[in-house]
Amino acid sequence: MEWDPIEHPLKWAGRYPYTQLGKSLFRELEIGIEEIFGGEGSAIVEAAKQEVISLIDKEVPPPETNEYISLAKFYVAAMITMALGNSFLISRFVEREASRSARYLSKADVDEITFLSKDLGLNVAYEDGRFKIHFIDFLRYVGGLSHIHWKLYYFPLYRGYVYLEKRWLIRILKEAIKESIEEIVYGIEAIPEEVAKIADEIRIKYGDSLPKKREYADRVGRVAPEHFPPCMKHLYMNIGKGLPHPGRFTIVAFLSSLGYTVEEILDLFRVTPDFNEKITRYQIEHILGLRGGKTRYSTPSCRKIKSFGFCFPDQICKKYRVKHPFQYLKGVMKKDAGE
Amino acid sequence: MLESDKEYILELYRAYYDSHYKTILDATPKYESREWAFLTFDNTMIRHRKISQPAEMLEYLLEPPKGIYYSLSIYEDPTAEMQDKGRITTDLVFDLDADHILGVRARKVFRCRECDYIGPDETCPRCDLDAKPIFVIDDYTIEDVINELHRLVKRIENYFDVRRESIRLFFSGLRGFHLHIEEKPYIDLDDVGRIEIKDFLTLEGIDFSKVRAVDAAAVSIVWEELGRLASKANLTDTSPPILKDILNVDSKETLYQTLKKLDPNSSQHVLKVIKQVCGIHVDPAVVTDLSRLIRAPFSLHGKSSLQKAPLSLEDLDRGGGYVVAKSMVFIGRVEVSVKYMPSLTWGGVEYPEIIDGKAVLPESLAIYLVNTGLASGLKPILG
Repeated sequence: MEWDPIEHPLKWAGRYPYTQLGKSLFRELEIGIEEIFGGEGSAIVEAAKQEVISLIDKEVPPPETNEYISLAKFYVAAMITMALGNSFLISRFVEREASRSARYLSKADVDEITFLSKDLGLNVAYEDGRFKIHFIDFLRYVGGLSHIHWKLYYFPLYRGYVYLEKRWLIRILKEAIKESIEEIVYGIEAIPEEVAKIADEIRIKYGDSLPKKREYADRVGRVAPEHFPPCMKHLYMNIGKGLPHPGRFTIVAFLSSLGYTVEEILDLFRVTPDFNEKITRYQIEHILGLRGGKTRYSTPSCRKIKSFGFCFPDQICKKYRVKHPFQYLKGVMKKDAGE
Repeated sequence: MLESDKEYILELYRAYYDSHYKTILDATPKYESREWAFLTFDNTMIRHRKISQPAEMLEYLLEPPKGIYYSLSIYEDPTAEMQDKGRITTDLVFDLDADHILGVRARKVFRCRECDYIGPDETCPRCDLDAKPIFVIDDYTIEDVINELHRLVKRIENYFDVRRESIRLFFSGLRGFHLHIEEKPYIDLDDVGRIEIKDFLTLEGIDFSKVRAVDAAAVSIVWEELGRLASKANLTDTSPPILKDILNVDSKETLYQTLKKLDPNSSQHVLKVIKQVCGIHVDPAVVTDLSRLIRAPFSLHGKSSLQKAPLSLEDLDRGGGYVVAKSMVFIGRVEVSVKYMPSLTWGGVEYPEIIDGKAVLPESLAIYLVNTGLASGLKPILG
């Protein structure tokens, strides 16, 4: 096949960068931050930056022909998007990458589709001119699709396998792809200084064009605390009582991603019982990547927050299967828009 | 209930649980990671308990409970509040209950709302008022649920590839059966997936115009059930023509084309008949609710005193009487004053109708009658 992952792994990874193969190749190639942000990598950085800007502009950039750049660009663009901390933009990033893959898949042959399915952990095969997917995998992803058209009884189902046409399978694969990309984006915990700088540049230049819903914003245009996810609301309300270290870390990273400045966050911490301005400022600046290793920390994912012990999921968390606090903000807005 | 009857039953339950608490835990996979609940005879539910070792179970059995339940889910912390338990996996359990099955045989007894009449008449002979029906379960009821259970096993085997050796089957202790599946990938299903499985079995929400192919499951199911549909639909001259067309098809292709014509608005009645007859009416909440509790294996049903007994699929072929007999743990005989008992079969033995009289009955049947309000005054037979 044309896109043989064994014969042309880089070609494959450039096309499907979020796959296990894409991830491991990205690691193996040891494309480190130095390479990317050094002279040689400027094309990658530029491509990633343009990718993110085009998400804001809602314009589709021409496909990347260099597979090496295509692979690395995905990971850098994911970091920039996460550093911008805008849930709508993250969704656009996820949706665009998944749609791009779906377009490739619509022209792909059986081997390419089955290999990708397997890489995504799905039990898919081709039999007698039709694709089949195990019904458990089918059920796992149809929840995100239009319920009334995807009822199990509308499809042929034999001995645990749902038989379906290629276009229907691709629709399911797209959901699985979105989940894989979300895991990568929301799993980014540290933002390198260079990426944070690019994000800041974009924020300054395109801040007004970043997607948002104004009715949820406080007077300076940020999401108001009453719309925070329950974990963040809990931390925000308890700042005055003193928070354990992971709690401080989480709320600082979250507030910063919403656009709170160091001074504003510092002011919130003034009410803590053991407040020491110097230490608190140092800690905040460290989390924001302004000190020490110059790495900016992003808001932890729900899995991490759960392990810290302050996950209190509410109906929105459950309904939208929230995996990251940013997704919650989007969920709140959807709910109020009556979607 | 008379205080003396309550004492009599409590003593039997106490003796049973003293010797069976380990059996209950042995029959519960990963019992230490499940939530346990105990229903007292005062109808108080004690929930969110964890049993780490058999000795801890005894604490909850000092006063014997009316019901013992465990969570279908396995949790990181079974004692925490619901949202903080940390669900890991959830057994997939199908509950087939006589209440949900069309045309199940059950004896009906009527209780007057005004006086103390209990008997076979729908209208109270003393007050001339409509009396309230009470359904009395017997071997025939269970026999009918067994037929339904065979359909369920066949369907989950053919469509969901559930292997027979993966099924743990239990008599629920009174009205039906619990079919447990406790292995991957089924236990990883989330609630959305479980709702789909429930809808697949009950045919809830079906609109045949949306069926995707001639061999779609919806068409295959109706095709397999055409004989049953013909016998249960009671065709008459006034039956909708499309129902006649469906019953007269000669190929799956024709069936597919005919079913596609069923309009969800104008053919509501026909759709309802198809759903009722071709669907399998498992209790929806047991399939879909991830925080559901279920009666523990080998524990006793609060009303019948019958055990939630494990059964093999082959046991089912031996009939309802065998199932009831196998679940009886109190096999002694007891004297009881019966207000009214319809003729019934219990554990393979036929009992004639009793109207206002003393009778010597097997303990399990007598306890069931006492709990249903049809009898009172349990008295051990001396000597």
